Amino acid sequence: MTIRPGDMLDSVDRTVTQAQVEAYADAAGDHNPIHLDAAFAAKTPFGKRIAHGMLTLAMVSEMLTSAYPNNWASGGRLKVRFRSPVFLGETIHVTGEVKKVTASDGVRSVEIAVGVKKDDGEDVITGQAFVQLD
Amino acid sequence: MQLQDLPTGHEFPPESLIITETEAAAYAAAVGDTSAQPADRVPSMAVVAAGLSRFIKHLGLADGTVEVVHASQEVSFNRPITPGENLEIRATLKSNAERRESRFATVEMLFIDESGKVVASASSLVLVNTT
Repeated sequence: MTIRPGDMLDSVDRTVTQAQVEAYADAAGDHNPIHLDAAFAAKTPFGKRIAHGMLTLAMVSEMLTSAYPNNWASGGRLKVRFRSPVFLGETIHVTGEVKKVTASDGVRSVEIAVGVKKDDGEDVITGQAFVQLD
Repeated sequence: MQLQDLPTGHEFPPESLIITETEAAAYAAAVGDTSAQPADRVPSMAVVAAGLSRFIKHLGLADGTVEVVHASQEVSFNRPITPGENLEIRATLKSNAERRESRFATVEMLFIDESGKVVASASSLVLVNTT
């Protein structure tokens, strides 16, 4: 299949729930109270519980795994910034757009702009992924 | 071990990391990834998440006494990880500085298999509110 700049990866759209954050805390071993303790979170600048950044990032990785089932796990790179927190009950949209396809020494690589946004368009994550295709 | 006492370049003691099929499946279910195949391979980001959680804990940043925010993340994957595979995590504190009542710390982690090859690496920047 030909990959061209401008191609969009299949998006991942998901609503983050309290149950999901609690399950993630157990699965990843991250029980930071900013994610789990409403009273603690109320005293932070966020004012309420937020989802783990790595939970949101897992959805970016899921999108890249779906697009490049073998190549993402074997030669994928990702560099992102966490721009704003995701609060429980918010829906997020994970997208990826091919920016460049390059070839060097017979190896093709693709650069993808990845992003996670909320319903209102606020950026949650921005960054770039790089995947070796061959 | 307190973050503010550690110098840049500090190397943490190596840690063993094994993610079982059950744990891989629990991770995939938690993140909502129905396309994952945890019996065959660990979801790539699960390895990084497990490593980062450990070092947040070791640094005393997970006990509710401080506010920690994940600011940025870099990862690279060299090959898929099989459930039950024994990995070693080698972590280094790449930066550690206080600015405007926040501490900025970068932890770099290498995930190494039993043959000594790096199978994944990650660099995490966290902000710790020091007020």
